Amino acid sequence: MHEQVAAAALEGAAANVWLVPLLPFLAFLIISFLTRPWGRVSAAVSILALTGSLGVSAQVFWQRFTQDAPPMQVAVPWITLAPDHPLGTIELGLLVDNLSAMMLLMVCFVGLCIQIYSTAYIQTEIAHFPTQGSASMSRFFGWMSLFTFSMLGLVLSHNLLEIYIFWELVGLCSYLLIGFWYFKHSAAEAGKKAFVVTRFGDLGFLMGILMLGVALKGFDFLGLSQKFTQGIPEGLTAGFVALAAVLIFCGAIGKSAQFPLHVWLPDAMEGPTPVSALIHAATMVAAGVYLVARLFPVFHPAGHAGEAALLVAWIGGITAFLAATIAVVQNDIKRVLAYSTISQLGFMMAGLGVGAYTAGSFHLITHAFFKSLLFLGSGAVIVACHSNDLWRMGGLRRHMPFTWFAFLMGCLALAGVPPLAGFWSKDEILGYVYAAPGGMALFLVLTFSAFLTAFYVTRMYFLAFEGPYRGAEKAPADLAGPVPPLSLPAPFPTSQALDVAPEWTEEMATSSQEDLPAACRGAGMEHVPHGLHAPKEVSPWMWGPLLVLALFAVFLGFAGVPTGVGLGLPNFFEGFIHLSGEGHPHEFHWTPMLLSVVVALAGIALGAGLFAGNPERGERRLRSGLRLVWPFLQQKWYLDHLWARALAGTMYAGALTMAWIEANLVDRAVFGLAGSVRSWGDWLRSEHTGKVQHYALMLLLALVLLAVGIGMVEPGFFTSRQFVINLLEGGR
Amino acid sequence: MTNALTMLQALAPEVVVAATAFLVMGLDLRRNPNPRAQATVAIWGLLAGALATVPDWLDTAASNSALTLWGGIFVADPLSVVFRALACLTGALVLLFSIDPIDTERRNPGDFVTLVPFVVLGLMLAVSAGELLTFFVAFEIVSLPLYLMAAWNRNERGSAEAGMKYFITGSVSSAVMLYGISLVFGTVGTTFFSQIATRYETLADPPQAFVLGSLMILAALGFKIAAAPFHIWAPDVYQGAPRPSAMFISTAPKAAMVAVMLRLFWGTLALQGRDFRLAETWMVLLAVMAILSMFWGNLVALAQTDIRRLMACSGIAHIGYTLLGVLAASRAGAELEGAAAAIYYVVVYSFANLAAWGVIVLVGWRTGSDRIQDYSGLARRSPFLAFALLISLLSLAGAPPLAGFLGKFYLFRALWEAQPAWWWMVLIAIVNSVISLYYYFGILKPVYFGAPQDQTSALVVPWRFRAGLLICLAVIMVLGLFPELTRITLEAGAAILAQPGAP
Amino acid sequence: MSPIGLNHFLALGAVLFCLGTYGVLTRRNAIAVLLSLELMFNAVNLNLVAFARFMPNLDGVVLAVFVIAVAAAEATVGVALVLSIYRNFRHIDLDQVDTMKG
Repeated sequence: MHEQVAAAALEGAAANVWLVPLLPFLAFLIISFLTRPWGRVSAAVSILALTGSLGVSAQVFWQRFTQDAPPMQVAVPWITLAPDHPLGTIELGLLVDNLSAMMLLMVCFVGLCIQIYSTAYIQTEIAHFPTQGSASMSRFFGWMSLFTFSMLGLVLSHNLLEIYIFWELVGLCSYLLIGFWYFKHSAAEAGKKAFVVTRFGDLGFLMGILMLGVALKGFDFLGLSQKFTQGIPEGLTAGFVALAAVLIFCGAIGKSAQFPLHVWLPDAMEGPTPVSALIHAATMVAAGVYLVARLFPVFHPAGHAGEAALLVAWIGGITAFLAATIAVVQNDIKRVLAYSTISQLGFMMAGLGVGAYTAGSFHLITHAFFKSLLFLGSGAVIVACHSNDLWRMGGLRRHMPFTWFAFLMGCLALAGVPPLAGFWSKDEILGYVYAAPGGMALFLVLTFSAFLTAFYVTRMYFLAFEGPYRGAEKAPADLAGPVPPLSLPAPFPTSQALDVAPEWTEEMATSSQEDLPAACRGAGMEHVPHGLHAPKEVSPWMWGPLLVLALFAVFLGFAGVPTGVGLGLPNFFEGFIHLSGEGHPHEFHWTPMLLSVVVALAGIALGAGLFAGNPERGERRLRSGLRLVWPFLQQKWYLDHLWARALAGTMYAGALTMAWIEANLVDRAVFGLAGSVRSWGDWLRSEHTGKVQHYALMLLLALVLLAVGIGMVEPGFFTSRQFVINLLEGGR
Repeated sequence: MTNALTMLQALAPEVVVAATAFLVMGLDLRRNPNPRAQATVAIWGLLAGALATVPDWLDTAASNSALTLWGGIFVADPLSVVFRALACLTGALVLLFSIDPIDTERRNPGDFVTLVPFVVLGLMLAVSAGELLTFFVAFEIVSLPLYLMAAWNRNERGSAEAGMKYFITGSVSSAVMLYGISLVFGTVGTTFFSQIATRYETLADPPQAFVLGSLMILAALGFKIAAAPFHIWAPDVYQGAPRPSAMFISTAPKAAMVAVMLRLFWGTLALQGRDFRLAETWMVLLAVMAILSMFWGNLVALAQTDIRRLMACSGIAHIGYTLLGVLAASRAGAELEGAAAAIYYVVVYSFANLAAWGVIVLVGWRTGSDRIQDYSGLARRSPFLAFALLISLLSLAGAPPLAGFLGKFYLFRALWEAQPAWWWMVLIAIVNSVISLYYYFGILKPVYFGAPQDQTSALVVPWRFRAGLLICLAVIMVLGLFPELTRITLEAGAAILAQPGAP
Repeated sequence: MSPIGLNHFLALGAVLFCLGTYGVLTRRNAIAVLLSLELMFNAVNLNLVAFARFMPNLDGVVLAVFVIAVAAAEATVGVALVLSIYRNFRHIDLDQVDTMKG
């Protein structure tokens, strides 16, 4: 399956690859230190830097695409802890292979579209908050640049420790950008939640890194992969490798919002919409998928069943299904997209889990394009309608033609309508799962998820773009608005500490005016009565990038058409991204492809049937049809509640124990020790009498004592008969 | 070797700094001297001096050689280059931080500005001296202006007292060093470092006079770097002297004297191959000094309420850590690592200390207080100052990923590899690092969590302070994040020591 | 009695050095302490000159000349500092110059 590949040094265009992350970082520094007062200048700096990065990464991509070169890497020692030990030197390096070259291009390109879009978007948003000004725009672009730098660094990382650093950096940027409107309580809370929840996964990630690295005496990806080319490396058991892989996968679960740590991503929609598009749709959440792809041989050691891979596949499948069901009942357009993102990431994971390296990566790329398109489109819609609520939209097709067209293309791609991008990539995953031994159950789950995907996409599309414009006035009161949270009895009613529970559960995201400082109140963009003004098309700075992305959403799929389809197109993608030594593509099956077309069309038909004419009636029929399932889905399978109970309860019990231990054991020991240390200090301090002659005396006494000390180290130094003579003779 | 061009190149930094010093002095003699202009000239002159070390570096570091002048009186080798550049940069930063307060308080600012380049010149000569007499004269060029700078505030009791104490203890240590030099000179008949080694072979065994003389030199060096048990002057002087002077006293001479220590005690006085093993003697002595310094400095610091006294105590402790590297360098086979670790540590210490003192100078100038309780709420009055203090103190405390952490790590590792049997010293050093955390956080806690006491207005940070602090913080972070690059450089700097009897 | 040789000079130097040290440590008057310091420096000069006398070269004398110059500079600075003490404390009793301690 895998064969030995020797890494080469960086050559040609790849020799400049260090510029790719460096330019956004420089932009970050320039924005932070120089151009902060001037928001537009900062935006220009950021976009200029990213354009440079895009240029270099396009060259690198072209070099990789046209030459069949082995992976290239360069590394310099970063910290030497013990020069002779194999793990004693931590290296910083750059790894350029086909996968990272493609990711670089995708991140730069999508990032550039999003940043151009943001110039217009963030200005309209800032205008709503009196306390925010030009400096806020600089803050936004500074952090976007920092994020881009971290993400590009993550993609180029050459070893596990390095990727871990960037992994945490993107997490930090995500935290900062989710909480961009820091004065909104809900945004600050959502940022915190995202950070804390992903940290749970990262703990496992770090343990996995250390297990693997220490056992194999090295952290670099190429070295690790090579050690797995002949199956499980010598001296390790399959169980050990599987455990390490699962622990590493924990990091991916957190970052890529997989079940059961997916709960942070919907709340992360509190961030500005371009942030959701860049970080929480296209790039950072894909980092987990990228990690699994990077460590593919560890998950699929040659000649072994790969228990870890099975777990990856099923976690992916469960996530895809679970998130798709929840997406059906969301009213917030961004939340529909958020759950859809979770679901699609689940598809990718499932693909990688069953060994579909190429298909998983392909879906990662196409998804990045059409999902960022959908997010940016939703941002445009939100700007136009002043609301996130699908029930306050409607009829936007006539008011916003460009946005409509781009959004529709994104919807079709996501729904999996041939021949758009999403169809080819999703279908390839399905085909692989279908062909995998024992993959039938997973195939059914994923196919059903695909059906649900088509359905909720159609629902979202019809609610937002078709029919008459409803606005705030005509929104159906019983259907619109956020889902009321189910109140949760505190696990430990005696304690104030468990006030965290409600925060963990619900609707931190749909905060309203009460959270805003007085200065901002009344001007927030959400829930502003809109009156009779019809929504207007957004500025070209916003719909321009949308159309560019739409182009890719439509045509990108043709890069990876399976050769078996008979369109006469070569499968460029598979030729570019495949496991080394994997001779020919897997067998092509018509059954899953036809089935996926059928379910997509069925989902669309069902959605259209319910929501095309009278959406209110359709929604009521859907709700009554689902009966008890509906509240279950609305409460998101009660997973947040479960987390609140399990986590908060366990933590509280732990905290009580620790508090007792601290008060009764640690404090006494520490204070006792500190007291005695301090008394020594006081005693020494009394030697500083303040009198200069005492000081001089101490100096000379010390000299004499040291001389005596030499005599003790060297017996015979003073007692030697010759001592006085030697001293006075000067030794001659 | 001694054609005019070589000479000019080797001496260029000294020439530039000396010219700067005299130019600044001349500017001070005008009818209406402008101290700020003088300071600007001095800062640029010192920076030019630092830049002028680059050719020396290029010539010597690659080939691991030395440019020697006048038969070895003056030596430009990688070690001296590092510390000459460091002295220039320290001087420039001290001027950057001090000119605002000194000029505002109208206490002969021009004279103060003039003295700084002279001290730097003395430091540069001291680290490149290849001979005891030159070293002694350079040592005095450093000491005498520093006594005056300590007593700068003529109308303040504390300053006069600090100057007097510094002068008397300093003069005693100078006299002791001279006596030691006379003994060493008398026994071997030469003052040149390169010849001491060869003449030493001819001495009777054990060479008591030689050892006693060396010990006296060591004591004087220990005084200058405030290493226990010769450190007792430091808290009083730092507290009484004007803040900019204390800042200078606590950084530049210490770094330079550590370099001299490396050169003298590793390169010259630690001679192997005889029955009486000098190297072992110095190792034990240095170990005693290191342990005493760490404990004394850290324990006494715990009880301080004045931030300047606290910085003095923490400085004593840091010299203790540094001495671990110096003593590891005296062990054959581990010299490079030990010396490189010590050099890295003093460089890092210098910049972290400069940053911390920069904040102390500014706060003291604006509030007139050095009590730690008056730092309460600093984060609200000036987030930038609080951040600068946070980074510099965390680096001093040795928190990753700042440079101070790696500095300590390198020191401990060097010691471990040089003397595995002395693992307990590493343990002692770690215990001391933990103790030091306590008082560093004792400062940071009121800074971040305390409420401003009397004045709640924002503290304005003048651009000179902002620039200087940013430079220091950048160095601390870059050295911490990319240690390998610096370490390679420093090992090249230390490599010169590996040649037996190197000048 | 052997003729006067190097040892005698060195012994005298050592005695002078100790006397100077004693003076520095015990005299309260700052000026007297300065004088004692001079004594210490001159003890070193005696040593150096004696070594030079019994050595083939003149290095020791050169050293001594420099030490004299340095000692003069030290004395200048010392007197200035004593003046500064007097201005602030109205006395030059070193025992009572102890506002800072601990």
